[in-house]
Amino acid sequence: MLKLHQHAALPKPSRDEAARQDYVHDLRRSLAGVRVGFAGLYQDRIEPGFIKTQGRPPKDRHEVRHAMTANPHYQLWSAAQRFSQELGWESVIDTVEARGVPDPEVKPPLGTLTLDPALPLPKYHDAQDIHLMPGGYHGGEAADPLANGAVFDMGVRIWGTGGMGPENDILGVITSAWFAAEYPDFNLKRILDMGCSIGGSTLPWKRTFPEAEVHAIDVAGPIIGYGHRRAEALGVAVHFSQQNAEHTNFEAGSFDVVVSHIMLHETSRSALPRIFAECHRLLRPGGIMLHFDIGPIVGTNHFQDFMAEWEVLNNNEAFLGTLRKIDVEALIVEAGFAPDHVSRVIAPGPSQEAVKSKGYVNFTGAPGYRGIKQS
Amino acid sequence: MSGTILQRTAKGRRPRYLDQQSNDDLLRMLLVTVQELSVTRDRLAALETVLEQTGTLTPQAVDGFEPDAAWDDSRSLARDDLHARLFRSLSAAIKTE
Repeated sequence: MLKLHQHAALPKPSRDEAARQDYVHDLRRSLAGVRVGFAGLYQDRIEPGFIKTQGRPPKDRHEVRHAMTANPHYQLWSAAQRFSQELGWESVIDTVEARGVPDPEVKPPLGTLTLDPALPLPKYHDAQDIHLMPGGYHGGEAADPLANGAVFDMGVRIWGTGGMGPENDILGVITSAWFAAEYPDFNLKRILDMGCSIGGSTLPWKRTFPEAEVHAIDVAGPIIGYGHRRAEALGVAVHFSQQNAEHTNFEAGSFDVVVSHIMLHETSRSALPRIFAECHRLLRPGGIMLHFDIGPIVGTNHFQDFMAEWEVLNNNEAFLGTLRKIDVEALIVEAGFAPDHVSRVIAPGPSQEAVKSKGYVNFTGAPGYRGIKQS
Repeated sequence: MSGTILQRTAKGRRPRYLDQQSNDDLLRMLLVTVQELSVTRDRLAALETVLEQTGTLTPQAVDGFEPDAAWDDSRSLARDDLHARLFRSLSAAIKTE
């Protein structure tokens, strides 16, 4: 069982708290095992039943949803899956409440932290607590300015059953490695990571490009504050600032690369054009924008389509479903990138060696959208 | 205690899954109960390990127990076994309905 790297800013669970957290981790693994059976149930029973009454197979994921959610076994699994998510957060909140967020007081500091408490919270973060984390990234009713960052760090291990690795960094590890291989001669001096959360993906970019100046922004104070403390504890120099990716205060043309990891699906349809336009403004000519997130729907397997959207319907990931259906590349072109400079990319998944040594989930790769600013 | 009080309930839609709300609540209560059973089993295992290693028990020995990876893995296997039995009827019903 993969445990988080117990760095100096990570609250340490008591024996019983660790047992509660590990329980939910394993509950989710077992529920994932139960979930596998639904493909057969659908094929053998649900779809034939639908055809019998309707005279045709379901025409989209919505019709599959109506049929599946009427099934009592699916109801039971789905309820347990939802509660596993809630119990996962609760189990780490116990630890953060009891211990607070330790301050390793790294001196001299490696990076910087700039908070902006007056920054308005966008509706897409305020309307619901994304993936059911109580208080969301911004902390909600929590008075502790860093607590929800630590809650997120510890909770992600449970949500992903450890597949993000001991430092929740798998995405940044594979995207920065992909970039280094794709652009061996690129002059990379200044990088911006948007929607950086606790910096899980940011730190690998700094480690891959140690000479570069790395900036990281997020709209929520607690994860930025915790992200800074965590980066210092891990000995990685990153400049964190609390900013909205739709409008930042950085100078035009001041970055070589602007990147994000699983940020787009936690924004909104109206935010996307503003984010892409801001990226275009921030890049120097020849600079590269990369947004790694869920790719568009491919194929016509309505059952898989429905199951892929479990998180949308049950885990407060409201925009995830929409993002899969809109033409993101067209929006990037509208934001100023030349059509022949916009494409989709895939950062290959972790090596078998890294899967073994770091406990990373074994997957084929992270899809992304790329826009290159014309020279 | 750090004195920090955090939000415990997520803002947003609360779907109902089973035929009535109270059954959703019952399932949640069941999962919390099984969770606490698992916590107790882990604590017992920690106690046994401490006794085996030191031959004695001090008041903080179990709370201060630092498991190694092999111990964590053995507890994880025990939880998998618990879940296999907990979900056996559900998994079987999904396969053979």
